[in-house]
Amino acid sequence: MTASATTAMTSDALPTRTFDSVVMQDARRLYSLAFLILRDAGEAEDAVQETQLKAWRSWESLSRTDRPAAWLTRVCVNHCISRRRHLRSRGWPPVALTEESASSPDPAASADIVDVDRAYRQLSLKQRAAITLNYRHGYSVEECAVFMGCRPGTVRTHVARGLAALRKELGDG
Amino acid sequence: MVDIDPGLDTRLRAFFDHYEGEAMPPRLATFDETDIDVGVSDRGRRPLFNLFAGLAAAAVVAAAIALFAIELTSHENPATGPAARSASPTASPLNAMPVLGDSGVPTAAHVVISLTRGHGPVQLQTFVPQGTLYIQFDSAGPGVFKISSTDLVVGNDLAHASNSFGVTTLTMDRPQSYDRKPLTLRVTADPSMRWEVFVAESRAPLPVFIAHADSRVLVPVTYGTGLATLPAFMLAPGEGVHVQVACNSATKADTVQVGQNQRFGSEIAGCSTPSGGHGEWFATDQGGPNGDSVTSYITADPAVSWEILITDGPPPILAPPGGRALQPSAYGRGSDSVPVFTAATTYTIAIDCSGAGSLTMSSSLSQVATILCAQYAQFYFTPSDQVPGQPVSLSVVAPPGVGWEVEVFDDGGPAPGTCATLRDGGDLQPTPCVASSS
Repeated sequence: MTASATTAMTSDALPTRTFDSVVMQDARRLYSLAFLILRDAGEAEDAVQETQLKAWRSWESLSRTDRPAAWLTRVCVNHCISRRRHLRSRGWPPVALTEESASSPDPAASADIVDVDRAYRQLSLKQRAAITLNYRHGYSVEECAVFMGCRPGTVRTHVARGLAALRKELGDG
Repeated sequence: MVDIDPGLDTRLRAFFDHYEGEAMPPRLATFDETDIDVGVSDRGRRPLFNLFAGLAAAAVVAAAIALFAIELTSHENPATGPAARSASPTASPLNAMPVLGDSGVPTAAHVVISLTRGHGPVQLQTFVPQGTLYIQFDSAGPGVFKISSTDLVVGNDLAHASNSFGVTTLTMDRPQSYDRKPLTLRVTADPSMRWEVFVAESRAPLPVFIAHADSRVLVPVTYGTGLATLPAFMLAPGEGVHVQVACNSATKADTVQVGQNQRFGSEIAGCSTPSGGHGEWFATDQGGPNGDSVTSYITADPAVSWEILITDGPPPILAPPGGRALQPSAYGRGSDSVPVFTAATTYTIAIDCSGAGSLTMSSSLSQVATILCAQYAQFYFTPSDQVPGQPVSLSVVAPPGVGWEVEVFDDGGPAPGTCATLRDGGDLQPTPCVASSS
């Protein structure tokens, strides 16, 4: 079944809300979020596809929610966390740095991005998720807590410890 | 808001910008349930980690290496890699703002709301538009982004469906549609939509006047242009007023006069300067025994925008016995200096202040006086190390929320050697210095 055919399924849903306009339009954001948490393009792609699939299966109820984007974010983040945990339990993958990140026209900036990447990869998965959601995407601590399935205080701890670890690794005081 | 030091903030921002610019895999843009079902079942076998999975993994690794090589090649070729990236409308979720100059906000404009980033619906701070208004924004995410004023003064002119992912600048050059009215902008967006907003205007913004909690508001904060008559208010006998006025001008017209019952009032200047004009003063009603109804009149050029707030003020400064004002009262808010004066004999400094905080008066001489203002307070200060005939400069140090009035009296009374005393308004007479008289 293709995307264009999926719109027919939504006839019972809100007339202005289609699977394409809600879920597919959000793919870019979800991919960016998953990629920054997992730091792996393939796994991020899987995470988004899993999210899209769950959205497809839950579309009847999802299409009636007030905040479908929040639902998608929660599912995607949850998948990132659990997926990584599953893979890590089997020793995959070793934390390695992809030097391809050094592709900026400015060599100094490229080197710095590589340094930050190296430090960022040392963070725990939840620290990355908390920093990505709270610092990068601007969600409140309370929203992050919902997405990550933990308490707001835990999110604050993840953010604070993650940033402290980055500071230490990067020598920023 | 994440508390993060600027150095790490800059580095992290560059890092995130870099990776968020990565292109999304094309297959995520279309949904095919069949493909995904295959993928899920495939992933379901991964825990077994059997030979087939191992071979598949090896193939994936090989493919990844090949893709990486291709990607690396494209990065090394500036004619293809970066161009392909910039062609994607979602390559950079939010563009760098503010955009100034011909394609954005004029560089001479005054910032009203500095660059603000957020997501979802938010109400921004209230301000009073002055002249041409520039609203610049960008958004990224699904749904519709809309920025509009809460009171509909600006209305639907600001509605904007945003899937453009580009910096947009709205120029509102019909000031008459919103002038003289406080404006509050509200962003309406899906919670997952990220946005940034920057607001500027062609004229200097007027300050935010706030009456402190324990004052009686006689004329609430009022905005206008040109001539105006303000609502009348009642003053009890001897009751003072505290007048705050600010202005800016689209032309060389520079002043705003405030008259009250033709008896007391004042004028401020500097409206045509880049930062506008601002002034405040205390005044006391000289009406009859039953009080008086006071009406205030504003006189200004039509090109001048003004703002005024009148609250009750401190009681008038009374001259010490035999004292004579050396020069007109000086008024100010926060820290400032008082015009230099020279007293032929001895002098006493009278200080009125209002607002939360303390005020410290220092002079070119050695002594300082610090008073706690809180509600309206009045003090007299007679420095002991006075040198008749020597110019004296005074300076006031106070928080921005403290308004004050300083008046200097040549009292010709106490001879040099009078003890330095700081007395409240009920004790006008300096204290003889016991040490010097013995």
